[in-house]
Amino acid sequence: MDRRWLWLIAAALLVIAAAWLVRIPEPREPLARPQVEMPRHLRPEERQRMLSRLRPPAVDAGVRRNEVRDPMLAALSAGGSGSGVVLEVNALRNSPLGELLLQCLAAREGRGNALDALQRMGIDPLRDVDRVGITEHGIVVSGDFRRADWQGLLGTATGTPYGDRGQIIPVDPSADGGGTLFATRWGDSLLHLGDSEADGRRVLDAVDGRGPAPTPLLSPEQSYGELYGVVSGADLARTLGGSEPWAAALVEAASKVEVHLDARRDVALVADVSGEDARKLEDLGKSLGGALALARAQARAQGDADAAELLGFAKVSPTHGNALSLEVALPLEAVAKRLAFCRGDTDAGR
Amino acid sequence: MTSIAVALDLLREAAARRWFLALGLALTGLLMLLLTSLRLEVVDGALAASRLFGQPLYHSIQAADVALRPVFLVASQIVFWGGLCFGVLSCADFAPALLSPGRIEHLLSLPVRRWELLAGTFLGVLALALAGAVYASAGLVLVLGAKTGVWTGWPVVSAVLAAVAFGTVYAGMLAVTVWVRSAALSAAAGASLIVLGLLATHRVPILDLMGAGLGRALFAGVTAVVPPLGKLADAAGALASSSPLAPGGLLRLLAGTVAFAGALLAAATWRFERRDF
Repeated sequence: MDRRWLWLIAAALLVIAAAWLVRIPEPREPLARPQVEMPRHLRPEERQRMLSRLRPPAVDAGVRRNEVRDPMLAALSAGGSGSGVVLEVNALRNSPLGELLLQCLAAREGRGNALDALQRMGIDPLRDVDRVGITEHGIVVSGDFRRADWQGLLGTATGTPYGDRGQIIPVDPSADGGGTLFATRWGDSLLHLGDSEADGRRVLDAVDGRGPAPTPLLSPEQSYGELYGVVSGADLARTLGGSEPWAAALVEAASKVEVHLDARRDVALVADVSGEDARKLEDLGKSLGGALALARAQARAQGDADAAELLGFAKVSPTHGNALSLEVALPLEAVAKRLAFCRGDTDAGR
Repeated sequence: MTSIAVALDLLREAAARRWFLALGLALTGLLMLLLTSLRLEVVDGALAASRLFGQPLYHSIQAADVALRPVFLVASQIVFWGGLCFGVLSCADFAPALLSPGRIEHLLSLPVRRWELLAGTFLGVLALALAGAVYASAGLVLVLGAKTGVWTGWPVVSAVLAAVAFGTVYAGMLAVTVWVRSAALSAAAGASLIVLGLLATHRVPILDLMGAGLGRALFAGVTAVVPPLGKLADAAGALASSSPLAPGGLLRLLAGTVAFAGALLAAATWRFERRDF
């Protein structure tokens, strides 16, 4: 070989040596980037689940409509609320994340007692509850409550009948104060807890299909993921308080945020933000992206490598039309690590 | 030995230049100014109190060596970064002058191997950088030692690190000159290496801010090889101010820096051996 080529070989070897030598070893293995499918539409099994939940309107409910409805989604729409979130308790319970949450619940003193108390009254929250929906007008719980001890739960087994299957039961305030709670039952499959009897009537009207149909908060086609819902801009403003610049921008630009969370294995969250002003949304997208980058850099600067990595899994998709999308994916291992504190692990949070 | 002869020749050439004369005079003037005008009575008082009572009288009194740590830290950074910038500007012309028409043919006609010419030029510049850095830091140690009674050799060791860092930068300048004989391009290469060295220091947070793609891959590749000069400067500062330092990490960093300089010199030699004059 030509002696001159030896210089080039030496240069290559020295470059490799330099790269190896100046590399500061990472203190630990980085988290694997989660390979998750973002919840964007109904998966085949979710479509089957959605179709199995649709019910025709009640026969004796006056003018009969042709459309079928999901009682839970109809109940959430009843109050005309702009915000509502549904938690698929049954699906979540059978996911790895649900297992982690249950371990958490079981490990914490006192929490198990609440589950036991419900079980003694004939409702096993882990088996009988299908979904829990929350709006500003109350909480809606769906499931199989045929074994429920209503007397023990609500103080009485029967209330004011309303419609074909409905009953509205006032529940006395608890000893530590608070107003009267109105529990509205729709057969043995739906329970609404609200502040007024009128709320209960509206829920039963909506579920039975009586009167003018309320504006749907969520359509059955939107019922994908283990958690889904919509939050109005005003409710978002109340929740966030607008103290951070990006939160203020979010409140100003967003009229509605639709959220879907997939927790089958790794946790994937999609938040679709829509608004009327495309320019403000574009600014919001930039603000959110900048906030994520800044938070990641801050976490890195403060030595919180875990948080920095988790923030690295988040991204803001470019604005298209009057909407933008925030996607966050967390590996299950990272979630388990974060939840380790409530299972009593000694290395929790590290 | 031939390389050393070339290096000495370069040093003679440097001595004839006003740049280095000015640097020597400026450093000497600065040290003289410190020697004659620095008021260190506070430190003296602290020392006296400590000696008299065996412990500090109040919390604001510090041991003199502790009080001087920020001074040595700042001085080490000035020597490091100032030395790099001054070195790039003042040494950019050496290699182009070596390769200038007439002179290079004359040198090649002598019993000198080509690689010895390059090595001699590099060693000469390195000796120059080392002399300047050590002169400045040793002078500061002497001045402060005479004033406070605190004697430490670490600032001088820190200056050696600065010289090693400049060696890497100059190796890059030399390699570029062998391809294109231009003092401006040589200086630009040196400045680029300093910037890249700074970027390499903070490559992880910067990579965090970059989206996946060709640009990120390119940045990751380049900054993985270039020595993180900021870390070397931090190590120099820590040494000068007697701060804690992981010795294994410093040795590895130094070895990597020397290896990178060696790679650039080897590439330059490869090109120099193939070039016709």
